[in-house]
Amino acid sequence: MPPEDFWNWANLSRLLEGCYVAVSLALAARLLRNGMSRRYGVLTAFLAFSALTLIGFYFLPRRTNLYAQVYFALVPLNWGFYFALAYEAYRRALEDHPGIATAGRWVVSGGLVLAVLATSVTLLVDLSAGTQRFPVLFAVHVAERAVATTITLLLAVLTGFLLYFPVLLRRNSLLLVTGLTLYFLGKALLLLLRNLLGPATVEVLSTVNQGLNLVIVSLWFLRIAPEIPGPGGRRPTVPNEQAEEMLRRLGRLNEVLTRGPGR
Amino acid sequence: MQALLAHPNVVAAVVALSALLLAAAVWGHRRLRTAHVRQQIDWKTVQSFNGEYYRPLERILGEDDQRFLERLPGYQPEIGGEFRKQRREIASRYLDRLEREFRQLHLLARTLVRDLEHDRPELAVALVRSGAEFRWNLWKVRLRLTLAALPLPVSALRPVSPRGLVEAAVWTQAQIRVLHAQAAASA
Repeated sequence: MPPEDFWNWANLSRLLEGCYVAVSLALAARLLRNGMSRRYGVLTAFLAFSALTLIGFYFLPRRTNLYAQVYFALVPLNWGFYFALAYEAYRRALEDHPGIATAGRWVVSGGLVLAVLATSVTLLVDLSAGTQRFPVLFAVHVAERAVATTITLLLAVLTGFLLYFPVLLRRNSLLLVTGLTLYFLGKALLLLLRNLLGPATVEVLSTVNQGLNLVIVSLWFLRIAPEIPGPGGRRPTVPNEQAEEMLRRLGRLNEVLTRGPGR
Repeated sequence: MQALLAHPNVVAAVVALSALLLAAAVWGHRRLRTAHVRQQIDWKTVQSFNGEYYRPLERILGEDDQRFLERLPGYQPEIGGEFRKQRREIASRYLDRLEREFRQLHLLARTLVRDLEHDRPELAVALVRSGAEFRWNLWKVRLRLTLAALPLPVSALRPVSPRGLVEAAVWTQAQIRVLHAQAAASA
């Protein structure tokens, strides 16, 4: 039995971090072992990277310059991973649908511009909090919130496009899109709270964030499975007999229409 | 924890926002997961669509019959009011049916474009545009009908034509024919 004072936010956060590291590494290993890392390369790399980063931070002395330097050095790398993950979700979602590939690219590109613009406006809320005790860290968190919000909006645009056409996703692609949406949505909202309320909330919010990350990675671990090769989400659009009949009727109708309006 | 509890309004606002966005994410996930069910096309509706059926709609929404009625001897405003009410009801039924048929036609066209073997961005964009235009025009016609039911000087409003609505449906039907012929040829 742990001592009574064990259950504080710091220890709970460590516990969740430990579970996250274990599940992430297990999932990355499974993706590598069954060859799915070829299709989900960025996800595999991100899971391994984030787990190894947490392990590395565990051994670094907290509240030191070295800790801060490593943390700041890894921030751009993390952001790169975030955008790469969103790109992987987009690629996997539209891979079976060449007919709408370019349209999808246009929508996602336009969505990115709109997401950046919308996010820029929402940053006014963060910046309204005024100066904080650690201005550099605050700036990094504001930027990270911007990145997370942008990717959340981008994934929302992608989801809207998929629903409009309507694209039938493979199960793993659906899990990836939903998991990433929840991941970035949670991150954006928790960072918003942190930016508004100051560094005193970090302990609680980071624990909640770890819990959310653990739930998402566990969901992926439990649900992501090897896929059957071949075109995934596609179904025949038109049953043959119905199609032939429909074609005949449409032909007759078009003949009538091209003859001109009847009175 | 104290820092959070010290700002209950901010926390409550962010929690409410989180709940709303989470619900939207779950809704999106469920819709994507059940896309194969929702894309069941009502073939009866698709097959039975005929643009000619909606030709009377233009006359129903027009002012000519009303003006003709007003010129008849014995005309009374009550008769005109009843006539307009009936016309609005008929037009509304036509629009409901047209909307239902267009939705099915457009869904089928989108599905066919989605399943194309070759990239057709211009067609995908044209479909998006036609869908948006249809909805915009339908909204305008419906708004006009709603305003006409109110005791307002709606005759000052510019009359709206349903032609764009029917043309959008006929265009979509033509695209389905071409797309399906291509699909049948490549099968």
